[in-house]
Amino acid sequence: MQLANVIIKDEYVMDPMLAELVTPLALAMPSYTFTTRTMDDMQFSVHSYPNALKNRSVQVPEGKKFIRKLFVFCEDENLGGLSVDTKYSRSSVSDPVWEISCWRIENERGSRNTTKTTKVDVAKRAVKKHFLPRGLDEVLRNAEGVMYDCDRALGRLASDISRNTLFKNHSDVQEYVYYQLMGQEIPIQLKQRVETKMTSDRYKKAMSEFDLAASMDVRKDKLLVVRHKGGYLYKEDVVRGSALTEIVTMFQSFEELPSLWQDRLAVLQLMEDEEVVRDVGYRHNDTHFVILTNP
Amino acid sequence: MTQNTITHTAPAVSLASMAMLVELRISTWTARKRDNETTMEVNTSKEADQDSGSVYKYLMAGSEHLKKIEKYAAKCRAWNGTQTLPWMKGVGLLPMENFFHYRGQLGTMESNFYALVDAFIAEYPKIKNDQAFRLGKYYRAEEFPDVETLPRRFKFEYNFLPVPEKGDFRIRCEEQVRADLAEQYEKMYNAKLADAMRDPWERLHALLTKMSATLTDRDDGERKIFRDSIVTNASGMCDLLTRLNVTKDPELEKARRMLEQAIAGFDPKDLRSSDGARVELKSSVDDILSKFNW
Repeated sequence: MQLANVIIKDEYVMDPMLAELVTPLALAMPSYTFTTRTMDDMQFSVHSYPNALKNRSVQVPEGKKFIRKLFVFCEDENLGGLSVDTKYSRSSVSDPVWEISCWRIENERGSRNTTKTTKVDVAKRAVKKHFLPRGLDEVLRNAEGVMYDCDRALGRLASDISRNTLFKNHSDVQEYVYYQLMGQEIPIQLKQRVETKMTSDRYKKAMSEFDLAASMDVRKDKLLVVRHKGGYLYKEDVVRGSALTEIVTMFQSFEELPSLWQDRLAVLQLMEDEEVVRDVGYRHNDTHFVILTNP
Repeated sequence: MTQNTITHTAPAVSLASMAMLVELRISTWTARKRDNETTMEVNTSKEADQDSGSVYKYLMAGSEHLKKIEKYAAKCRAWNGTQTLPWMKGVGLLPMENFFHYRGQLGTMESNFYALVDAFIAEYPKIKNDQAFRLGKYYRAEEFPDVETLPRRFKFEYNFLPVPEKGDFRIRCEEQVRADLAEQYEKMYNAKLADAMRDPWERLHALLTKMSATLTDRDDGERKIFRDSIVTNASGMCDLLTRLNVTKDPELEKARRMLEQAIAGFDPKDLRSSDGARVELKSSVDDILSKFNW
């Protein structure tokens, strides 16, 4: 039975034991896609077999192999994986064991993102419980690394100057500055070496990038904004009642954002990924931005 | 619950441009047949008139294939009910915001429905033979449809229709009759529109009331048992309401946002373990319930 939301690469068919789990789930959850989409050659070779798992006499159609693992997607979000394998036991009869992998399992349990069961109903329940698209809070929490990426991008911009990579001989600059400060004449060869280097286009570019990184680095008003389902997500401090503040997740349409933020997001949307714009912010990719919230 | 009035939800632009009507018809072979002989026997044995009772037999007794299709059809109909607003019997009002989401899932459901039907039809000759043993003396081979005609008994059809504009009567009749028809239609149209717009409010109200009741601890101070769906249903409702607010009712959007903010940061595990979390979420939910004129 070929279901519309079970999409498997041409050379493979679902192992009957995997189908026992996937078919009812695919029928119950039409917005989810069960697919081999993100699997690479290595994964295909690990999870494909010429025989069916339980009944080895079941032969695969000619030119095909049984696949024992699929990934589950909701829109473009990878929710986790489903696979079937054999339970190792002392008895000669080997039962199938279904394995469900999902980041929510690790969150709940604290370790390992997989759960295994020999009961297909338990496996179905686990999928229905854990395979949920990320909520607004979870989307933002998942994007927190973008702030570190922003810091790294600033670090990269400043690196030529801060790490002195453009001067192989660091003492040249020190000597030059010393003579200058003491009012002594700078030796001609030293003067040429330093001034040629410092007036080069490469040095000018490095200095302007350093200046940009420094100007961004001192700003305390950097805010992570994530474009999600037609709106924008960010965290905001909210005062409730007395002086108590609480950080809440905000989700607003573009028009509802402050106009300054709208302008800055519009600029960043035109930029390349991982680009920093002076007095505007940083674009991580087409959905993740760090903007400066104050004028 | 008092009913919402139409006053604050009147659409600024024509409904026809913001929504369409969708008619979904799913039919399956029932495999039920009246057994006249047994009916007569039973009625006679009960000393009753011949139209007093009827005996129906289920031709697919003991087989899961057809039941799977029936269950799936029921699921599709129920899903259609959640994704559309009530308009007329068998016809739902589909906001344009929800069109692409609805159309995508409906296509998947249609394909899956026919995949189930194909699987059933492939097995049908074997099942038909097996039924001779299962039905015993009820079995009549001629009552089973041919494998060639069987697919025609399963249908998954849908039509998208424009919402008719008020008073669009193009019939040849007296002016007075036409005016009466237009007036009658307008009354019906307004009533339907009010019903359709009340529906999301009712769904939201039902959800909030249930959440509030579930989050209230029992008299002995113990928390009530609840599933993860206390949060997932609420977030699903927030998502759905963005697509069902056909008239862009600002009050409904405000209520939706309040719920979205209220549940942000709470997960079922916290709610189970923390009294404070339950109290906080309940107070936010009650706050929403008290803020609007339900």
